[in-house]
Amino acid sequence: MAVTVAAGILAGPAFGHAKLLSTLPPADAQLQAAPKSLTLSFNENVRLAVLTLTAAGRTIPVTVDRSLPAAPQVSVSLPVLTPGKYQVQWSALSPDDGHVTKGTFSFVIVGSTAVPAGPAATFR
Amino acid sequence: MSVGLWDAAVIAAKTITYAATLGAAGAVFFLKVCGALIASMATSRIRYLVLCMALLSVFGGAAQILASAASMSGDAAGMLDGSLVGMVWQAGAGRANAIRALGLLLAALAVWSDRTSWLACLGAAAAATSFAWTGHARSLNPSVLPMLLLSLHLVGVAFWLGALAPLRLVARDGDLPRIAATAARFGAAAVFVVGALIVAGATLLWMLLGDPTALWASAYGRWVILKLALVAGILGLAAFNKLRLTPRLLAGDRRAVRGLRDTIRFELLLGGVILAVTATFTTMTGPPALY
Repeated sequence: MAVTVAAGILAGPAFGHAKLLSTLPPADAQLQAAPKSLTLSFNENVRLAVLTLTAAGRTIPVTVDRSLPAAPQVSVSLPVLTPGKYQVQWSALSPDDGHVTKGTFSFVIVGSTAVPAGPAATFR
Repeated sequence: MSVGLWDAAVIAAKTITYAATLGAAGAVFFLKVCGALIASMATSRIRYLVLCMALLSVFGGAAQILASAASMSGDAAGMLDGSLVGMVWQAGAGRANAIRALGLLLAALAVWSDRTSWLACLGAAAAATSFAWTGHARSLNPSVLPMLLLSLHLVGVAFWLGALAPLRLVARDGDLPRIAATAARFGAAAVFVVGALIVAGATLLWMLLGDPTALWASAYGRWVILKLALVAGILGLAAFNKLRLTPRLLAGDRRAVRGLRDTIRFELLLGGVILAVTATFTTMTGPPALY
């Protein structure tokens, strides 16, 4: 009980360091066509460490270039994706304070043609 | 707030690194201030304590880097991923760990060479302040004043909390006049050091919060309130030691020795909890002024 109360009082956003502002494609988006790339925008410079894309329990290979300099916006190219629900799991590192930021989001492709993704969603 | 297995490992490694580093540095400061008053047996034990804490600090720092890599990858394989470990090392952890290890090496060598010199204190101070080279204070702009304030705070914490284990070793040897003289000298010095660490910590907190209402309106602020409550508790115990037990020790009351040992045990326990709380909220949340 005491632990539950303490957790309630102290609760807040997980890993409140570099903050994810938006993604492209947006979280929970229903896309008519498959995106060619995936972009994450932050409130400060980060280095993308890990990005895992899964669909129906299968991991889709995605290359993350860890040698890139820190930037507020990071992108990865995607292979040709087929219709289905995709889960994105990412983690990034802030070069200023060394803190880890991470999260997950998903999107759904209902069509099958690869075109650039739509406007970004905003995370609060 | 969701804490995964590897996040918990990062917090545990960070807590151990804090405790071991500040413990080693504090033991060196203690020998400098009180070394002339204590028996050679206790001095020898405190030197071993410095060595053990220094080794634990280095292992804790390495474990924190590996656990951070695992936290990013989501599994233990991250610890073996050279480029992930390299990213953590380059993002401040490498410099902080290198400064800490060099400082502790200098402190341990100087302490073991014979008398505790100012060189040992310099190494201890470098190790204690190594935490300022990474973390939230460094992210403030400009960062020089916050880093200096954090460094002052860390040296103060090391002097105070790091002296508890050596003081308990001295209190175990049963030589009442030595215990009384040591407790009195440490208490006299600690008043100024603890005062400085509180002022430095409060000023830094003001900068990190940005707005006083963030103290209760943000997760970071609420963790700080918990930490301040624990600090109030340990300050109460320290005041009891200085104002009640030390005068009784100086008056030759042997029963006060047992009281001193018991209160130091509680102070050590509370100090450990404070470090664990600090490791938790500096890992899982960020200060409102930055986000």
